Amino acid sequence: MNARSQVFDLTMEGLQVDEAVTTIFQTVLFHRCLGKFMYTGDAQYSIGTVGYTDVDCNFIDFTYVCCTSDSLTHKVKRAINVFSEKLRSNESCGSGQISLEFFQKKKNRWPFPQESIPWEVWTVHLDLIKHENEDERQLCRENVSDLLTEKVIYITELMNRHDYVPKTPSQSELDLIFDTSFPDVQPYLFKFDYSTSGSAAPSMGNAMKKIIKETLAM
Amino acid sequence: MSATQRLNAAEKDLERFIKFLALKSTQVVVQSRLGEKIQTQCNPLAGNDWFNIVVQDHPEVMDETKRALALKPGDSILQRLPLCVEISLKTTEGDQMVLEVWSLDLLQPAANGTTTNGGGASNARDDSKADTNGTNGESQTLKASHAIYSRMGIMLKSLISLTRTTPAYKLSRRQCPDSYGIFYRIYVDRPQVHTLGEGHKNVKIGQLHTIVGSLVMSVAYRTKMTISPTTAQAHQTENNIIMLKSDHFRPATDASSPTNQQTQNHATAVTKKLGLGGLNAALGSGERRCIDIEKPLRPGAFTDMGKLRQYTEDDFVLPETPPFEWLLRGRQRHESTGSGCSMESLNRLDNVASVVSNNLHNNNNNNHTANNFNHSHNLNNNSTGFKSFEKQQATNGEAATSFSPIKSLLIPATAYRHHSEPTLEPPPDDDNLLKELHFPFASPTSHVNDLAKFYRECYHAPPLRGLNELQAEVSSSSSSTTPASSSSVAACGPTAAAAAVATSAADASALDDLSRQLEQFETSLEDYDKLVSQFGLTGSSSSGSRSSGGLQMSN
Repeated sequence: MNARSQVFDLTMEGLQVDEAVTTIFQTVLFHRCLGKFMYTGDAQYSIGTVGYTDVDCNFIDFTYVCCTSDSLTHKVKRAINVFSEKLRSNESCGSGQISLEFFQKKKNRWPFPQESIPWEVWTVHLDLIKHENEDERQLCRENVSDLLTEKVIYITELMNRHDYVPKTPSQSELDLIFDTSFPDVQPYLFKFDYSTSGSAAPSMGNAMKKIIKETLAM
Repeated sequence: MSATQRLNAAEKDLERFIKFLALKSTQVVVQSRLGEKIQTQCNPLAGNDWFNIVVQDHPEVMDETKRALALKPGDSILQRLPLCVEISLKTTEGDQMVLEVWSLDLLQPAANGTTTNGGGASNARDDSKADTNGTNGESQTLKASHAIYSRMGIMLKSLISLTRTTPAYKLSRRQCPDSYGIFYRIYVDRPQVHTLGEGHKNVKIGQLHTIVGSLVMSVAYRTKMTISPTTAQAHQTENNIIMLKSDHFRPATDASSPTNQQTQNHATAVTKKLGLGGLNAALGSGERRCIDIEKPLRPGAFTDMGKLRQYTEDDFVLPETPPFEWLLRGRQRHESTGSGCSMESLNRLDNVASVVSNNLHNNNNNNHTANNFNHSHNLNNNSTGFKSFEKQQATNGEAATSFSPIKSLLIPATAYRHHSEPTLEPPPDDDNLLKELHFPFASPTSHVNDLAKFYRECYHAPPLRGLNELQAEVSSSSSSTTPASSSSVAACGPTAAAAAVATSAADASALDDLSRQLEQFETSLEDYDKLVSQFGLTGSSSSGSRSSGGLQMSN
């Protein structure tokens, strides 16, 4: 499947991982969230509005914007937190990656389960470092902030390209495109996926990404 | 027939979208620089917000944007782009620095071939143009209005995200009245990126290909943040020369402007800049460099030299006692002579008059020679305008009461305006100068308000009538004002002299009263002593000197 894929490489301290990844993913999700659809007919609907919230990071000198939705924030936070705990644990060798994958479902005939087709994947690859002293830490704090600025600019640039996004379906098929479980916002269907170098064999998608990355690096 | 009608309807829709995109964009940019975190709530039940994003409308910003766009009913916003929001920083010392320029521009499909003649000023435009050419093949022109609408929504979201990433955001979050404030200015013109210093960055937020052209949203921001006064000012000198010569005065007379319409566009933009950004235009001009502490201030024309010197000297010498007496004296002098103000009022009046005349000329844009003359006239007035603004700001910082003198100074100007052009609607510029200070960066809870309140209270406190103070005051003021008062009496005529005599008589009677009271107290001292001893105090406290004993007790 031809999903768009973006990979961000970041190097930072363990404490900063949560906020850095959240910054990138929330910025993406902010762009990929619509207001709730209220159907008045099968093809007629009105769209709710999306509020936004400024969030200050604690360990990075940065402020990002996300949708004002507690449930969405919670979901994102929990997924990233699980990853970051793994990454920073003793078994880990200090590198790993987490991805945010947008997909649409496709109904199959009865005996076969629904198929998920990704159409956009955002991956953050992380390498952990440790700082010897406070000066270095301070410097890194600024560096990571500059890095995130760059990434957010890049994300907005991509968002404003005229790339494929799934068409808005009729009411009966809304769940195949959008995640309607949130009470206040309606993002495109998304899921998180992660791997840390210490654990689990990489999935097929990750292997592909690695190959792509390596060829790019050459 | 029906096809063209449909096209027209689509264009109308698009115009409306663009208009609201412009209005919302300025809101987003300005609100992000208020120095506070923003949170708006989702409304799942189909709210009425444009682009399905909850952006609160700040009425002041809305007014400013509408004023900058100056759309009359029936006007198309397409002719009024590019619209820019400039964010600048101003320190308490008066140093000013433009931090970033956010712009919304419309590139006409036909205009791709024409060359821009703006030199350095059109950097961002050129970049985006190059990009247009590069991406033309890839992106198709959007026709469906709902597609345009949703893309505009994404663009606005990108704008919201990006406003938090530029260096100015961090600066605005740290702004405080003691060190610096953040200002904004909305204008219709090409983005003036030359004020951003060397190495500024351009970021294109988004581009949208529509049937009326490509809509481009972009930002240019400063990367070198250090204010070193000498280099900054030297740099400014260059910039100012460039700005005044190539940007301010050229468009009205430049024959190389592609169309007459565009010329008109630019001419109005210049006026807007003077009006809306009177602050910045004035600040940017060279006057500030001329104020050198080493050199004495030069008096303006028609200023009484004797009075002026007395004013400045007195300002530096503080009387020893009592601590707050100088405040009262300052007020007295202010009221009686007003020598310091006369110069300011002249400048202010002159400036306003020039703006008025500018507006007047703006109305008949065909008159190019007149316009040109008008611009050169403004060159002089920008510098004087700065001074008066400084003065105004200083007084504003100290006490809100100083509003009234400023307002009153404006009265002659309005009289002049009515005299010259009765049908002209009053220009909003004077208000704007004031507004810029109060909104939106002065929150009612800030610390300065306490200080201002305290100052006001001191300022208006009834003068305490201590005998010594009163005597000292009368003698010192009479001695110090004698050289000046002779001239002021001569200037003000017999009424002022009579008033002076009356006040001195009143003082004398007050003095008599006081001395009589004192005598009475002294004669009845023994009674007081008795009273004190009746309270059963020990001999030790009464053995000391009476007056100092009282002091000790209170301590």
